[in-house]
Amino acid sequence: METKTNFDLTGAIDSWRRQLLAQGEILPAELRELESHLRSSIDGLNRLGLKEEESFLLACRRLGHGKPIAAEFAKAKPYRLWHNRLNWLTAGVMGAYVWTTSYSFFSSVLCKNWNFAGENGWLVEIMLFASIIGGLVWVTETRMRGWWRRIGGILDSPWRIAFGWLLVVVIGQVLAYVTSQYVARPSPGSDGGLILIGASIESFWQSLTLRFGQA
Amino acid sequence: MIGKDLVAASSRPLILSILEDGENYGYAILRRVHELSSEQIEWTEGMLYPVLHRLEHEGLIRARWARTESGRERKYYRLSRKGQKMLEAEKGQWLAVHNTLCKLWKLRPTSI
Repeated sequence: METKTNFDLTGAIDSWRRQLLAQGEILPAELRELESHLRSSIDGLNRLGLKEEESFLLACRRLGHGKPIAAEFAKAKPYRLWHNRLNWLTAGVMGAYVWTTSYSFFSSVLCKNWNFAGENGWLVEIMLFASIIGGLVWVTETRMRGWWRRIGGILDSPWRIAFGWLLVVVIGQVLAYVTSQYVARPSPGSDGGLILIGASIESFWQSLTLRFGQA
Repeated sequence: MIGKDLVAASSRPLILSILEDGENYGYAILRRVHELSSEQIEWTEGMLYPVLHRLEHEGLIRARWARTESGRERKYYRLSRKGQKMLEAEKGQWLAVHNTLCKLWKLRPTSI
């Protein structure tokens, strides 16, 4: 007689992933590879006639404990954790630079073309904040997995990181130049593309308090 | 069952030799070692990946992510030119050990 089990493989793999991460310092790329192995192993055991739950348990057991695996990964590439942190740092600084440059550029264009500055300046600020943050949320929610893999691949070597930096700075400078040449009136709080993230947030708050503080 | 130290030492030439036949991924490499050794060589499966990463770090193998027909992500490894050279050197060393032992045990040594 066949017994019906409610084994949730996706949930089980999720909790296995969390457990492995808690056991040792395993990086996302390493974990992805181990997960791919686990799934192949489960498939192989299923084909031998094991039930999904049994296959899962046996595959986990065969794969091993997180701590010794993490220790071996550390031996294979001693600086991998710092390399990973450096990648995050680089991504963060690049992100801030892209943010400030594009923010300044788009706010200048909006102010010039629709004359949103002055009286309606706060509207431009809100629209920009909402669209940029909305865009970021959309990217993280829907596109992050594929994108992240590609970004991770790009940032894998120090030369590529340096090249990526150069490219972002060049694009930023071109945008700043276009802003200063073709957009006569700078946006509130903008400094021709090279403003800090703090300045854009400050100008946002300023325009809000100016608008609503007086009311 | 083969001892832990020998299993660890032989993992390198085994992986390089399997990849000499063409691109492959971790799970399939393990299965192949398992079959060829008549289940005498048993690896803790997760331990294969640090070895693969070490070989990649040393430039002996190259890796790429790809998606299978069923949509699953897999990391495939292949031998680099440097890895090919290293494999030739490893072959010489292992055969030298093998032949020495064969002579001592009065067995017929394997020729290269």
